[in-house]
Amino acid sequence: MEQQDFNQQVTETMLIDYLNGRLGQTERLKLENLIQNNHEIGQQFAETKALWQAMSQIQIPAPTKKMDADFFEMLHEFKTASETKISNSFWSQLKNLTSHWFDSKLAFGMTILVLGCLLGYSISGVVNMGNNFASGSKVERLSEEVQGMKELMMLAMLQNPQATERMKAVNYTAEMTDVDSKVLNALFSTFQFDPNDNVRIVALNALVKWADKPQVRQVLLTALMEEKSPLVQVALADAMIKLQERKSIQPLQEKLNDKELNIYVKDKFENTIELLSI
Amino acid sequence: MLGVKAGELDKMALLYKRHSSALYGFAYHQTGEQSGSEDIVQAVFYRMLKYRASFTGQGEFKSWMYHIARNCIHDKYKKSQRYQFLDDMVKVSDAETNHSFVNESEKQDSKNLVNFALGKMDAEAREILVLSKYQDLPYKEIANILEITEANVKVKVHRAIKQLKEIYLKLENGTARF
Repeated sequence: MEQQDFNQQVTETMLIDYLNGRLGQTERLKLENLIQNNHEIGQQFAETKALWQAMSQIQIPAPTKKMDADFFEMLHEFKTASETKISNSFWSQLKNLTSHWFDSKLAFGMTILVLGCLLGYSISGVVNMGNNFASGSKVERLSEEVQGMKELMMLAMLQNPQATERMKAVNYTAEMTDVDSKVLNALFSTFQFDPNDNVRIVALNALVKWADKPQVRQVLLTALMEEKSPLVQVALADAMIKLQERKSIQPLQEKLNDKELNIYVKDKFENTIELLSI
Repeated sequence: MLGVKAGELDKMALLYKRHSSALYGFAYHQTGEQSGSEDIVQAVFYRMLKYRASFTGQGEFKSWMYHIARNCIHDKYKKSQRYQFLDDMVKVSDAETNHSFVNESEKQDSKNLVNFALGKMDAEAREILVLSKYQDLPYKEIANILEITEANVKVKVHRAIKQLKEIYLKLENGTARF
Protein backbone atom coordinates (compact mmCIF):
# COMPACT_ATOMS: atom_id res chain seq x y z
CA MET A 1 0.00 0.00 0.00
CA GLU A 2 2.85 2.34 0.93
CA GLN A 3 4.65 1.45 -2.27
CA GLN A 4 1.48 2.11 -4.22
CA ASP A 5 1.14 5.57 -2.64
CA PHE A 6 4.73 6.30 -3.54
CA ASN A 7 4.20 5.29 -7.15
CA GLN A 8 1.08 7.40 -7.26
CA GLN A 9 3.02 10.43 -6.08
CA VAL A 10 5.84 9.91 -8.55
CA THR A 11 3.42 9.53 -11.37
CA GLU A 12 1.46 12.65 -10.48
CA THR A 13 4.69 14.67 -10.42
CA MET A 14 5.61 13.15 -13.73
CA LEU A 15 2.21 14.10 -15.14
CA ILE A 16 2.87 17.72 -14.28
CA ASP A 17 6.35 17.57 -15.75
CA TYR A 18 4.87 15.96 -18.84
CA LEU A 19 2.29 18.72 -19.19
CA ASN A 20 5.02 21.33 -18.68
CA GLY A 21 7.11 19.66 -21.40
CA ARG A 22 9.92 18.97 -18.96
CA LEU A 23 10.22 15.20 -19.36
CA GLY A 24 13.05 13.58 -21.27
CA GLN A 25 12.18 11.36 -24.21
CA THR A 26 12.61 8.08 -22.34
CA GLU A 27 10.47 9.15 -19.41
CA ARG A 28 7.90 10.68 -21.74
CA LEU A 29 7.51 7.43 -23.68
CA LYS A 30 7.30 5.43 -20.43
CA LEU A 31 4.59 7.71 -19.14
CA GLU A 32 2.60 7.69 -22.37
CA ASN A 33 2.69 3.92 -22.24
CA LEU A 34 1.49 3.95 -18.64
CA ILE A 35 -1.34 6.36 -19.46
CA GLN A 36 -2.56 4.09 -22.25
CA ASN A 37 -2.34 0.83 -20.34
CA ASN A 38 -3.30 1.78 -16.81
CA HIS A 39 -6.92 2.89 -16.51
CA GLU A 40 -6.44 4.59 -13.15
CA ILE A 41 -3.39 6.56 -14.30
CA GLY A 42 -5.16 7.37 -17.57
CA GLN A 43 -8.08 8.87 -15.66
CA GLN A 44 -5.75 10.75 -13.34
CA PHE A 45 -3.93 12.15 -16.34
CA ALA A 46 -7.17 13.26 -17.99
CA GLU A 47 -8.22 15.11 -14.83
CA THR A 48 -4.84 16.77 -14.36
CA LYS A 49 -4.69 17.76 -18.03
CA ALA A 50 -8.18 19.28 -17.91
CA LEU A 51 -7.24 21.24 -14.81
CA TRP A 52 -3.93 22.35 -16.31
CA GLN A 53 -5.62 23.51 -19.51
CA ALA A 54 -8.31 25.37 -17.60
CA MET A 55 -5.55 27.09 -15.59
CA SER A 56 -3.85 28.11 -18.84
CA GLN A 57 -7.05 29.75 -20.03
CA ILE A 58 -7.36 31.98 -17.00
CA GLN A 59 -6.67 35.52 -18.09
CA ILE A 60 -5.71 38.31 -15.80
CA PRO A 61 -6.27 42.00 -16.43
CA ALA A 62 -3.23 43.76 -17.85
CA PRO A 63 -1.54 46.24 -15.54
CA THR A 64 -2.56 49.85 -16.08
CA LYS A 65 -0.26 52.51 -17.50
CA LYS A 66 -0.16 54.00 -14.02
CA MET A 67 2.14 51.15 -12.94
CA ASP A 68 4.79 52.19 -15.50
CA ALA A 69 4.35 55.86 -14.65
CA ASP A 70 4.69 55.17 -10.92
CA PHE A 71 7.83 53.14 -11.48
CA PHE A 72 9.61 55.77 -13.55
CA GLU A 73 8.61 58.48 -11.08
CA MET A 74 9.96 56.37 -8.21
CA LEU A 75 13.20 55.67 -10.11
CA HIS A 76 13.65 59.37 -10.84
CA GLU A 77 13.08 60.31 -7.20
CA PHE A 78 15.44 57.59 -6.01
CA LYS A 79 18.18 58.74 -8.40
CA THR A 80 17.77 62.36 -7.36
CA ALA A 81 17.96 61.45 -3.69
CA SER A 82 21.05 59.26 -4.28
CA GLU A 83 22.83 61.96 -6.29
CA THR A 84 22.18 64.55 -3.59
CA LYS A 85 23.57 62.23 -0.96
CA ILE A 86 26.68 61.46 -3.02
CA SER A 87 27.48 65.09 -3.76
CA ASN A 88 27.08 65.92 -0.09
CA SER A 89 29.37 63.28 1.24
CA PHE A 90 33.01 62.66 0.56
CA TRP A 91 32.77 59.32 2.30
CA SER A 92 29.90 58.24 0.11
CA GLN A 93 31.96 59.07 -2.97
CA LEU A 94 34.79 56.97 -1.64
CA LYS A 95 32.41 54.15 -0.83
CA ASN A 96 30.98 54.26 -4.34
CA LEU A 97 34.49 54.15 -5.74
CA THR A 98 35.43 51.13 -3.66
CA SER A 99 32.20 49.33 -4.56
CA HIS A 100 33.19 49.67 -8.25
CA TRP A 101 36.64 48.33 -7.58
CA PHE A 102 35.91 45.93 -4.80
CA ASP A 103 36.21 42.79 -6.85
CA SER A 104 39.84 43.54 -7.46
CA LYS A 105 41.97 42.56 -4.49
CA LEU A 106 44.73 44.89 -5.69
CA ALA A 107 42.36 47.84 -5.81
CA PHE A 108 41.03 46.90 -2.39
CA GLY A 109 44.58 46.80 -1.04
CA MET A 110 45.25 50.21 -2.56
CA THR A 111 42.10 51.58 -0.96
CA ILE A 112 43.29 50.35 2.42
CA LEU A 113 46.73 51.87 1.76
CA VAL A 114 45.22 55.25 0.89
CA LEU A 115 42.99 55.12 3.93
CA GLY A 116 46.04 54.23 6.07
CA CYS A 117 48.00 57.17 4.61
CA LEU A 118 45.09 59.50 5.27
CA LEU A 119 44.83 58.26 8.83
CA GLY A 120 48.62 58.55 9.30
CA TYR A 121 48.61 62.04 7.85
CA SER A 122 45.78 63.06 10.12
CA ILE A 123 47.54 61.66 13.17
CA SER A 124 50.91 63.24 12.30
CA GLY A 125 49.11 66.50 11.62
CA VAL A 126 47.54 66.31 15.01
CA VAL A 127 50.88 65.42 16.68
CA ASN A 128 52.57 68.38 14.99
CA MET A 129 50.02 70.62 16.44
CA GLY A 130 51.73 70.02 19.80
CA ASN A 131 49.85 71.81 22.45
CA ASN A 132 46.89 72.32 20.21
CA PHE A 133 46.28 68.57 20.41
CA ALA A 134 44.38 69.17 23.56
CA SER A 135 41.86 71.08 21.57
CA GLY A 136 38.57 69.22 21.98
CA SER A 137 37.34 70.01 18.49
CA LYS A 138 40.40 68.45 16.81
CA VAL A 139 40.12 65.26 18.83
CA GLU A 140 36.48 65.10 18.06
CA ARG A 141 37.14 65.57 14.34
CA LEU A 142 39.75 62.80 14.37
CA SER A 143 37.42 60.54 16.24
CA GLU A 144 34.70 61.23 13.69
CA GLU A 145 37.09 60.45 10.87
CA VAL A 146 38.06 57.13 12.43
CA GLN A 147 34.40 56.32 12.95
CA GLY A 148 33.75 57.24 9.31
CA MET A 149 36.52 54.93 8.15
CA LYS A 150 35.16 52.07 10.20
CA GLU A 151 31.76 52.64 8.65
CA LEU A 152 33.26 52.78 5.20
CA MET A 153 35.19 49.57 5.77
CA MET A 154 32.13 47.86 7.12
CA LEU A 155 29.88 48.89 4.23
CA ALA A 156 32.48 47.87 1.66
CA MET A 157 33.24 44.53 3.29
CA LEU A 158 29.55 43.65 3.52
CA GLN A 159 29.61 43.32 -0.25
CA ASN A 160 32.39 40.77 -0.19
CA PRO A 161 31.29 37.42 -1.66
CA GLN A 162 32.98 35.53 1.22
CA ALA A 163 30.74 34.98 4.23
CA THR A 164 33.66 35.26 6.68
CA GLU A 165 34.49 38.73 5.37
CA ARG A 166 30.87 39.80 5.73
CA MET A 167 30.91 38.51 9.32
CA LYS A 168 34.03 40.57 9.99
CA ALA A 169 32.25 43.57 8.52
CA VAL A 170 29.31 43.12 10.85
CA ASN A 171 31.68 42.77 13.81
CA TYR A 172 33.10 46.22 13.07
CA THR A 173 29.90 47.65 14.56
CA ALA A 174 30.94 46.24 17.95
CA GLU A 175 33.72 48.84 18.01
CA MET A 176 31.43 51.71 17.15
CA THR A 177 30.14 54.02 19.84
CA ASP A 178 27.05 54.89 17.85
CA VAL A 179 25.55 53.90 14.51
CA ASP A 180 23.85 56.10 11.94
CA SER A 181 20.99 55.14 9.65
CA LYS A 182 23.42 53.97 6.93
CA VAL A 183 24.99 51.39 9.20
CA LEU A 184 21.66 50.37 10.69
CA ASN A 185 20.15 49.89 7.24
CA ALA A 186 23.16 47.82 6.21
CA LEU A 187 22.70 45.65 9.30
CA PHE A 188 18.96 45.31 8.62
CA SER A 189 19.63 44.39 5.04
CA THR A 190 22.29 41.82 6.01
CA PHE A 191 20.05 40.33 8.68
CA GLN A 192 17.08 40.05 6.32
CA PHE A 193 18.64 39.15 2.99
CA ASP A 194 22.14 37.71 3.39
CA PRO A 195 22.19 34.24 1.78
CA ASN A 196 24.27 32.81 4.65
CA ASP A 197 22.45 32.03 7.92
CA ASN A 198 25.61 32.47 10.00
CA VAL A 199 26.14 35.97 8.67
CA ARG A 200 22.50 36.76 9.40
CA ILE A 201 22.89 35.52 12.98
CA VAL A 202 26.00 37.67 13.47
CA ALA A 203 24.04 40.65 12.11
CA LEU A 204 21.19 39.83 14.48
CA ASN A 205 23.58 39.80 17.46
CA ALA A 206 25.02 43.11 16.29
CA LEU A 207 21.52 44.58 16.09
CA VAL A 208 20.77 43.49 19.65
CA LYS A 209 23.47 45.89 20.80
CA TRP A 210 21.44 48.77 19.32
CA ALA A 211 18.11 47.55 20.63
CA ASP A 212 17.55 50.88 22.40
CA LYS A 213 16.60 52.20 18.96
CA PRO A 214 12.88 51.52 18.39
CA GLN A 215 13.31 50.61 14.71
CA VAL A 216 15.69 47.78 15.69
CA ARG A 217 13.14 46.19 18.02
CA GLN A 218 10.47 46.60 15.35
CA VAL A 219 12.58 44.82 12.72
CA LEU A 220 13.31 41.96 15.14
CA LEU A 221 9.63 41.57 16.08
CA THR A 222 8.60 41.54 12.42
CA ALA A 223 11.31 39.00 11.66
CA LEU A 224 9.86 36.68 14.31
CA MET A 225 6.74 36.29 12.17
CA GLU A 226 8.46 36.10 8.81
CA GLU A 227 11.64 34.16 9.46
CA LYS A 228 11.83 30.72 7.84
CA SER A 229 15.30 29.51 8.81
CA PRO A 230 15.21 27.43 12.04
CA LEU A 231 18.73 28.58 13.00
CA VAL A 232 17.81 32.23 12.76
CA GLN A 233 14.47 31.58 14.49
CA VAL A 234 16.32 30.13 17.49
CA ALA A 235 18.76 33.07 17.50
CA LEU A 236 15.81 35.46 17.39
CA ALA A 237 14.22 33.73 20.38
CA ASP A 238 17.51 34.07 22.30
CA ALA A 239 17.62 37.76 21.38
CA MET A 240 14.09 38.25 22.72
CA ILE A 241 15.13 36.67 26.04
CA LYS A 242 18.24 38.82 26.20
CA LEU A 243 16.19 41.95 25.53
CA GLN A 244 13.35 40.77 27.78
CA GLU A 245 11.05 41.85 24.96
CA ARG A 246 7.56 40.98 26.19
CA LYS A 247 6.02 42.24 22.99
CA SER A 248 7.42 39.14 21.33
CA ILE A 249 5.11 36.83 23.30
CA GLN A 250 2.18 37.32 20.95
CA PRO A 251 4.08 36.72 17.69
CA LEU A 252 5.79 33.72 19.27
CA GLN A 253 2.41 32.29 20.27
CA GLU A 254 1.10 32.84 16.77
CA LYS A 255 4.09 31.05 15.29
CA LEU A 256 3.34 28.03 17.48
CA ASN A 257 0.24 27.48 15.32
CA ASP A 258 2.39 27.28 12.21
CA LYS A 259 2.19 23.66 11.10
CA GLU A 260 5.55 23.88 9.35
CA LEU A 261 7.42 25.17 12.38
CA ASN A 262 10.43 22.99 13.14
CA ILE A 263 9.80 20.85 16.23
CA TYR A 264 12.98 22.06 17.97
CA VAL A 265 12.15 25.66 17.19
CA LYS A 266 8.68 25.05 18.60
CA ASP A 267 10.23 23.86 21.89
CA LYS A 268 12.52 26.88 21.90
CA PHE A 269 9.59 29.26 21.33
CA GLU A 270 7.59 27.61 24.10
CA ASN A 271 10.52 28.02 26.52
CA THR A 272 10.98 31.61 25.42
CA ILE A 273 7.32 32.42 26.04
CA GLU A 274 7.60 30.80 29.45
CA LEU A 275 10.69 32.82 30.36
CA LEU A 276 9.22 36.10 29.13
CA SER A 277 5.92 35.51 30.93
CA ILE A 278 7.51 35.20 34.36
CA MET B 1 21.53 44.04 -11.55
CA LEU B 2 25.26 44.20 -10.89
CA GLY B 3 25.26 47.42 -12.94
CA VAL B 4 22.51 48.85 -10.74
CA LYS B 5 24.50 47.81 -7.69
CA ALA B 6 27.55 49.61 -9.06
CA GLY B 7 25.54 52.82 -9.23
CA GLU B 8 24.04 52.69 -12.72
CA LEU B 9 20.51 53.14 -11.43
CA ASP B 10 19.08 53.72 -14.93
CA LYS B 11 19.65 50.05 -15.65
CA MET B 12 16.81 49.29 -13.27
CA ALA B 13 14.49 50.45 -16.06
CA LEU B 14 15.72 47.55 -18.21
CA LEU B 15 15.05 45.10 -15.42
CA TYR B 16 11.60 46.62 -14.99
CA LYS B 17 10.79 46.11 -18.67
CA ARG B 18 12.01 42.55 -18.50
CA HIS B 19 10.38 41.42 -15.27
CA SER B 20 7.49 43.71 -14.33
CA SER B 21 4.84 41.71 -16.21
CA ALA B 22 5.92 38.44 -14.63
CA LEU B 23 6.00 40.02 -11.18
CA TYR B 24 2.57 41.53 -11.71
CA GLY B 25 1.24 38.08 -12.72
CA PHE B 26 2.90 36.51 -9.69
CA ALA B 27 1.19 39.01 -7.40
CA TYR B 28 -2.16 38.95 -9.20
CA HIS B 29 -2.51 35.18 -9.20
CA GLN B 30 -2.05 35.24 -5.44
CA THR B 31 -4.06 38.28 -4.50
CA GLY B 32 -6.71 38.66 -7.20
CA GLU B 33 -6.30 42.44 -6.99
CA GLN B 34 -5.17 44.56 -9.90
CA SER B 35 -4.32 47.70 -7.99
CA GLY B 36 -2.74 45.79 -5.09
CA SER B 37 -0.59 43.79 -7.52
CA GLU B 38 0.63 46.99 -9.19
CA ASP B 39 1.56 48.33 -5.75
CA ILE B 40 3.51 45.14 -5.06
CA VAL B 41 5.48 45.48 -8.32
CA GLN B 42 6.32 49.04 -7.31
CA ALA B 43 7.39 47.91 -3.84
CA VAL B 44 9.59 45.12 -5.23
CA PHE B 45 11.52 47.47 -7.51
CA TYR B 46 11.86 50.03 -4.75
CA ARG B 47 13.30 47.40 -2.39
CA MET B 48 15.63 46.12 -5.09
CA LEU B 49 16.98 49.65 -5.46
CA LYS B 50 17.19 50.25 -1.76
CA TYR B 51 18.83 46.95 -0.91
CA ARG B 52 20.87 46.61 -4.12
CA ALA B 53 24.01 46.22 -2.02
CA SER B 54 22.69 42.92 -0.68
CA PHE B 55 22.64 41.38 -4.17
CA THR B 56 25.88 39.41 -4.24
CA GLY B 57 25.59 38.16 -7.80
CA GLN B 58 26.33 34.67 -6.56
CA GLY B 59 22.82 33.27 -6.96
CA GLU B 60 20.19 33.84 -9.63
CA PHE B 61 18.83 37.36 -9.90
CA LYS B 62 15.33 35.95 -10.37
CA SER B 63 15.51 34.03 -7.09
CA TRP B 64 16.52 37.20 -5.27
CA MET B 65 13.76 39.17 -6.97
CA TYR B 66 11.06 36.62 -6.15
CA HIS B 67 12.35 36.42 -2.60
CA ILE B 68 11.73 40.14 -2.23
CA ALA B 69 8.37 39.84 -4.02
CA ARG B 70 7.24 37.17 -1.55
CA ASN B 71 8.13 39.45 1.35
CA CYS B 72 6.25 42.35 -0.23
CA ILE B 73 3.13 40.23 -0.77
CA HIS B 74 3.36 38.89 2.74
CA ASP B 75 3.77 42.39 4.20
CA LYS B 76 0.81 43.75 2.26
CA TYR B 77 -1.57 40.86 2.71
CA LYS B 78 -0.58 39.25 5.98
CA LYS B 79 -3.84 40.35 7.53
CA SER B 80 -5.93 39.41 4.51
CA GLN B 81 -8.36 36.49 4.40
CA ARG B 82 -6.59 35.18 1.32
CA TYR B 83 -3.62 34.35 3.47
CA GLN B 84 -5.44 32.21 6.00
CA PHE B 85 -5.08 28.50 5.84
CA LEU B 86 -8.27 26.75 4.89
CA ASP B 87 -9.09 23.62 6.80
CA ASP B 88 -12.21 22.55 5.01
CA MET B 89 -14.62 23.81 2.44
CA VAL B 90 -17.44 24.45 4.89
CA LYS B 91 -15.17 26.70 6.86
CA VAL B 92 -14.10 28.33 3.63
CA SER B 93 -17.61 29.02 2.49
CA ASP B 94 -18.60 30.45 5.86
CA ALA B 95 -15.66 32.79 5.84
CA GLU B 96 -16.04 33.68 2.22
CA THR B 97 -18.72 36.30 1.88
CA ASN B 98 -16.69 39.00 0.25
CA HIS B 99 -14.58 37.09 -2.26
CA SER B 100 -14.06 39.15 -5.35
CA PHE B 101 -12.59 36.65 -7.77
CA VAL B 102 -15.77 35.75 -9.65
CA ASN B 103 -19.45 36.40 -9.26
CA GLU B 104 -22.19 33.79 -9.00
CA SER B 105 -22.95 33.53 -12.71
CA GLU B 106 -19.31 33.12 -13.64
CA LYS B 107 -18.97 29.99 -11.55
CA GLN B 108 -20.74 28.02 -14.28
CA ASP B 109 -17.71 28.17 -16.45
CA SER B 110 -15.01 25.56 -15.69
CA LYS B 111 -12.25 28.08 -16.32
CA ASN B 112 -13.72 30.43 -13.78
CA LEU B 113 -14.39 27.53 -11.45
CA VAL B 114 -10.69 26.72 -11.51
CA ASN B 115 -9.91 30.37 -10.94
CA PHE B 116 -12.28 30.35 -8.00
CA ALA B 117 -10.74 27.13 -6.68
CA LEU B 118 -7.28 28.71 -6.92
CA GLY B 119 -8.54 31.53 -4.75
CA LYS B 120 -9.69 28.99 -2.18
CA MET B 121 -6.36 27.22 -1.87
CA ASP B 122 -4.14 27.89 1.08
CA ALA B 123 -1.57 30.59 0.36
CA GLU B 124 1.47 28.34 0.37
CA ALA B 125 0.01 25.78 -2.03
CA ARG B 126 -1.27 28.49 -4.36
CA GLU B 127 2.10 30.21 -4.36
CA ILE B 128 4.03 27.11 -5.41
CA LEU B 129 1.52 26.41 -8.16
CA VAL B 130 1.79 29.99 -9.42
CA LEU B 131 5.59 29.73 -9.47
CA SER B 132 5.50 26.43 -11.33
CA LYS B 133 2.57 26.95 -13.67
CA TYR B 134 2.29 30.67 -14.34
CA GLN B 135 5.86 31.82 -13.78
CA ASP B 136 7.10 28.65 -15.48
CA LEU B 137 10.08 28.38 -13.18
CA PRO B 138 12.07 25.13 -12.99
CA TYR B 139 11.97 23.21 -9.72
CA LYS B 140 15.56 24.17 -8.95
CA GLU B 141 14.78 27.87 -9.09
CA ILE B 142 11.61 27.44 -7.03
CA ALA B 143 13.71 25.56 -4.48
CA ASN B 144 16.09 28.53 -4.28
CA ILE B 145 13.24 30.99 -3.86
CA LEU B 146 11.47 28.98 -1.18
CA GLU B 147 14.72 27.85 0.45
CA ILE B 148 13.75 24.19 0.34
CA THR B 149 15.10 21.20 -1.55
CA GLU B 150 14.16 20.42 -5.13
CA ALA B 151 12.61 17.12 -4.01
CA ASN B 152 10.49 19.01 -1.50
CA VAL B 153 9.31 21.36 -4.25
CA LYS B 154 8.11 18.38 -6.29
CA VAL B 155 6.20 17.01 -3.34
CA LYS B 156 4.63 20.39 -2.64
CA VAL B 157 3.62 20.88 -6.29
CA HIS B 158 2.06 17.45 -6.23
CA ARG B 159 0.12 18.27 -3.05
CA ALA B 160 -0.94 21.63 -4.43
CA ILE B 161 -2.41 20.06 -7.56
CA LYS B 162 -4.17 17.50 -5.40
CA GLN B 163 -5.62 20.26 -3.23
CA LEU B 164 -6.75 22.22 -6.27
CA LYS B 165 -8.44 19.12 -7.72
CA GLU B 166 -10.28 18.46 -4.47
CA ILE B 167 -11.53 22.03 -4.16
CA TYR B 168 -12.49 22.10 -7.82
CA LEU B 169 -14.46 18.87 -7.54
CA LYS B 170 -16.26 20.09 -4.42
CA LEU B 171 -17.20 23.29 -6.23
CA GLU B 172 -18.26 21.41 -9.33
CA ASN B 173 -20.42 19.00 -7.37
CA GLY B 174 -21.94 21.82 -5.40
CA THR B 175 -20.91 20.40 -2.05
CA ALA B 176 -19.39 23.70 -1.10
CA ARG B 177 -21.54 26.70 -0.30
CA PHE B 178 -20.54 30.21 -1.31
